[in-house]
Amino acid sequence: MVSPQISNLIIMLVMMQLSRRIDMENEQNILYIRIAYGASVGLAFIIYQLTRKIIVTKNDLTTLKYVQPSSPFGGEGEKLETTTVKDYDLKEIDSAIKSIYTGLAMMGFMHLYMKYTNPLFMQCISPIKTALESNEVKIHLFGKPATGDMKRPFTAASLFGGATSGPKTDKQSIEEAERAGNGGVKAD
Amino acid sequence: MATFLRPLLVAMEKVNNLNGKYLKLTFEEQKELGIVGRFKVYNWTFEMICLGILGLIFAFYKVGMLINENRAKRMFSSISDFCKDELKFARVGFNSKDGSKLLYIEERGKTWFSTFATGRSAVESLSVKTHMLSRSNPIAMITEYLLNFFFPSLAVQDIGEYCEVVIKPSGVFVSTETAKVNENSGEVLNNFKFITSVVNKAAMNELRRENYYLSLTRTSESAKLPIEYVYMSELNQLNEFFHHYASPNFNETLKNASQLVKFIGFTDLPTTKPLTDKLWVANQQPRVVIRTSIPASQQDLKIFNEVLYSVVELIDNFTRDLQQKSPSVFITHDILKKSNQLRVQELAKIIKAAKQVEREMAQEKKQEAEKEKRRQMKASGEQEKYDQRMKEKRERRQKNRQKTRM
Repeated sequence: MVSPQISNLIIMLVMMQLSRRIDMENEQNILYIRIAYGASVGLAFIIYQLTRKIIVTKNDLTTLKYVQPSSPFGGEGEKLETTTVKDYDLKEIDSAIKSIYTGLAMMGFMHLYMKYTNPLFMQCISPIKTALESNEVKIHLFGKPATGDMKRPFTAASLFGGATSGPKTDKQSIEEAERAGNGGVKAD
Repeated sequence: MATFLRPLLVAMEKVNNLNGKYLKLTFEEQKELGIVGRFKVYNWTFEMICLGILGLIFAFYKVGMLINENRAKRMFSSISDFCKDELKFARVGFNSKDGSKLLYIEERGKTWFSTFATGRSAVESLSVKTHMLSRSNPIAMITEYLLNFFFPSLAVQDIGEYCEVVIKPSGVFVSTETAKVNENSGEVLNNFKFITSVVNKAAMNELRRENYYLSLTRTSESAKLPIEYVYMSELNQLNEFFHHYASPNFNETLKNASQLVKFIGFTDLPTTKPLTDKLWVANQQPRVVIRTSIPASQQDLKIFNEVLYSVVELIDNFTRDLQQKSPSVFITHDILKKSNQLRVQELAKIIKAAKQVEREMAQEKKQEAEKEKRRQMKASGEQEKYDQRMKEKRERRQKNRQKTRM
C-alpha cells in the first residue's frame, strides 16, 4: 500500500503535467477549475462536519493518557495529555477543519490576489483525498476499528515508512509525567 | 511592498474622491459660498460613517457592561442568600465606606467579580471569584477568540469565563451556637494536608496545566463516580475521601452539575508552581477549590448552590470527625506520612532547581565581569601588553618543550 504522502507526491506530479496542457488564461477553464476546487473543499468540509457530528453523538468519555514528545521548535519538554476519546477526536477533526481554512486563505491569496490558477488546479484533489484518508473519518464514518495504525493517539506516518517518534503510551512514561509537577508554571 | 499597499491606497483615494467637488473649489469660491453653503457642498459620508462606528462602539460598551453586571447581580445575590440562609454564614459580602452593604466587588471594567463570606463552624472563609468576558470590547474579544483558535499557544490565560470558590477550613467545629470552641484547631488543620479532587473529564488537561497541585496527582476513573468525572489524587487511597464524608446524594449532585462543575479539589499546595523554598512555605494553605462555569440560568444557580452545600457539608463532617477523634476518621497517619513524603520530595526538587538557576546566574555574572574587564583593558591599551606577555609566555613554553624533546 502506497503511503498517503507518496500518493500525494504522485498526484502533484501528474497534476503538474496536466496543468501544462491546460490554458490557464481561458476564462472558461478558470471557471471550471474554480468549481472543481470549491466542490473538493466543500465535500471535504461536509465529510469532516459529518464525522464531527458522529463524534459528538457517540460521546465516548473513556480517558486517554499519553505523553506528547517535545516539539523540535518549541522550548517545552515532554507534555502529558490527559483527555477523553471524544475530546481527542474533536481536537483532531477541528485541526483538520482548521487546515481547510488555512488552505482556502492561501489559495484565495494566490488565485484572487496574485492571479495564479495553477495552484488551484493542483489542489483540486488534495482536500477530499486528505479527508477520506483521515483516521477520524475512517473510524467514525467508515466504521473501521480503532486498532493497529488507527489506535489513539495517532502517530504521524513517516514519508518512506521509517520509524516515527509518536506519543508515548507506556505505563512508566505516563506515571513519570503524571507526577512531574509541571503544572501552574506562570509564563514570564 | 507596493502591491500589498495598493488596496489601502485605492481606499484612501476613494475617500478623497468623495469630496472631489468640494476640493476643486478655489479659495474665493469657497469664501463666496459662506458657512452654510460650504456645509451643503461638502460630502459628509465619511464623517457620518466614522460617527456611526463610534456610536456602535459606545453602544457595545454600554450593553456589554450591562450584561456582565446583570449576570453578576443575579449570581451573587443568589450565592449571598444561600450562604446566609442555608450555610449559616454570619457575614456575607462587604461593607462600603458609607456603611452600605456590597454584595460583591467588581474590577477591571466589570470582568472580575468577587465576594466573601465568613463566620461559620468548620469554615474560616468562603470566597467566590468570577471572570467574565470583556463584552464591553467586542473587537478585543473577537481578536482573542481568533488568536486562540488559530494559535492556541499565544492565547492569554483567563480568557474564558469561570467561577472559582475557595473554602478555607478553620479546624473548629461547634454543633450549636453556644458550644465551646475546640482549642486544637491547628492540630485538626494539619489533617487537611493532602490533594484529592473530582475533576470533570472535559477540563482535565487544562486544569492539570493551570494548577500545580493537580499536576502532582494520578488520574483514575472509577465506577463510583458519574461517567463525566475522574479522580485526581496524590494517593489512590484518597479517592474514597469524597464518598466517605459526602452525603449519599453527592453523586447525583455531581451528575446534575456535569455541565457546570469543572473540579472540586482538596489541597494545601499552591496553584502556581513555587520557584523557591520560601515561596513553597509561604503559599501553603489548606483549602477546598471549586471551579465551575458561570451559572447563568436559575437552574444553574440552584445546582451551583447544591454543589456548594455538598462541599461545606463534607468539610463539616470531616472536621467533626477530626475534632471528636472518631475511630472512623478517613485521613490516617499513614496517608499523612505518605503525602508528607511527596512534599519533601517536591521541596527537594524545587531547592535543586533554584540552586541550579543561582549557579547559572553566578556564571553569567562572572562572564560578564570578565568581558567588562577585557573591554576596559582594551580601552586603556593594557590589552595589547597583556596579549604580548601571553604570546611571549607561549613561545617560551614551546621552546622549553622543544629543548626537552631534543
